[in-house]
Amino acid sequence: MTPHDDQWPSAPPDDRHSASLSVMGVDCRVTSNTGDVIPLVRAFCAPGAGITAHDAPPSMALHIQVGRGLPEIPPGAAFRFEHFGTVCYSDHQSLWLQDSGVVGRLIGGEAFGLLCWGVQDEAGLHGLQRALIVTVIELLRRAGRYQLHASCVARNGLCVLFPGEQRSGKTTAALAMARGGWQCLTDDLVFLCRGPAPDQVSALGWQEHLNVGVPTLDAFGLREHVEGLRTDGRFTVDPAHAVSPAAAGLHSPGVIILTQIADDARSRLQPAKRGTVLARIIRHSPLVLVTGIRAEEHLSVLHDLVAQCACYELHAGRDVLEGALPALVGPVVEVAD
Amino acid sequence: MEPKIDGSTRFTGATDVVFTAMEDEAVLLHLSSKRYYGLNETGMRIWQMVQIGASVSEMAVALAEEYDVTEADAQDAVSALCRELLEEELITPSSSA
Repeated sequence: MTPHDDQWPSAPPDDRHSASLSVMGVDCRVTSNTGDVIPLVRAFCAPGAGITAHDAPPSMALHIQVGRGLPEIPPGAAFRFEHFGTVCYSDHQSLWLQDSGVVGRLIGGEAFGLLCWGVQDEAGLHGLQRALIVTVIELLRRAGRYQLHASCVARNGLCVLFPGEQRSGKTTAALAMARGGWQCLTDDLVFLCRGPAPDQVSALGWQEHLNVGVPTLDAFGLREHVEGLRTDGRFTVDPAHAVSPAAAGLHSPGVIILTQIADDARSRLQPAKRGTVLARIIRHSPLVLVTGIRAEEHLSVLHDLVAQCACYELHAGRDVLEGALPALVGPVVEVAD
Repeated sequence: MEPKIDGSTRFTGATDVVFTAMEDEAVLLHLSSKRYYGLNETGMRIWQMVQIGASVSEMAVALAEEYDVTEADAQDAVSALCRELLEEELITPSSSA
């Protein structure tokens, strides 16, 4: 018990504002001392709603404490990483989050998170929204839903994953495949879970706004559907105008394509070694490297995902913007199916 | 001070390291340092022999047979990799049998 523990309740307080949500097939109970924040969390979790998974739903809990000041993060907590403005620390007991006007704690191995929102101004609202991203991703991980930065398209029950970091071409690949008749689960955020068989892995998509650069915006005729400009110079687009969404639910990954943008007219697709693919996708699953909680199971899921997929590397040339990708990917999907 | 590595040296894998193999490559995940490492086919073979308690010279004999190299070259390769694994705290020297 540290001197800071009394500032941080280890279970949801009995506050009267609450909601029960389903996020990626996980039952989530959200509580707060104020009713204002519940709709915000409900809207945030909407992309993950309405999905059932193979197992009986695990559960997680999130409490958001508003306007009661900001507790301290223990000085012994070490810096781990920053995620779009949310700074994360950890000690042997907890993962700690800090953003503008918000601090949070995810205790040990429990599926319980606490966020404290100190000042309800605009900066604090954005801080809360950013902190929610890390919080929900980590709580889902503890409930057996493992995040992977990838776009994902599906057809006839089989899906293709394009893992990659920012600006690696994930969204462009998803849009290009959608143009070829594929359905889009997500352009950025996949959640993996076990099932239906114990050694199989399924994919769930979390789709919010598309984030696209100017070349992709123009190549796919999306300028009139721009909803906003991000601080990184990319544009947000409502996916309803760009892709045909896949049915909510589980899909079976059959192909993994590592993508990098090439300064070339023509794209090249070549087989990739599974060991190489595994090492690369570990990089796009950052939370497995932050805490030891469920790390072994997370790595096992990534291993089994790669084992069940045909793996390729795509050097994406300019012809991707001209519609070449579906024809390039089609034959490898037929082999995998 | 760097530990001395000779033919009789044996090692023990760190308890907080997760190993997963994929075809002829492997990934080591160090849960404490949060780092991960890639091993090629030879490295994976050496790691597997470390886990069963083989000495450096025993590992060199096995690699020389499997890869058609001299025992001296094999022992150099084993010693070099083990030194790296020691530096990254993925293995520790164990007491000789």
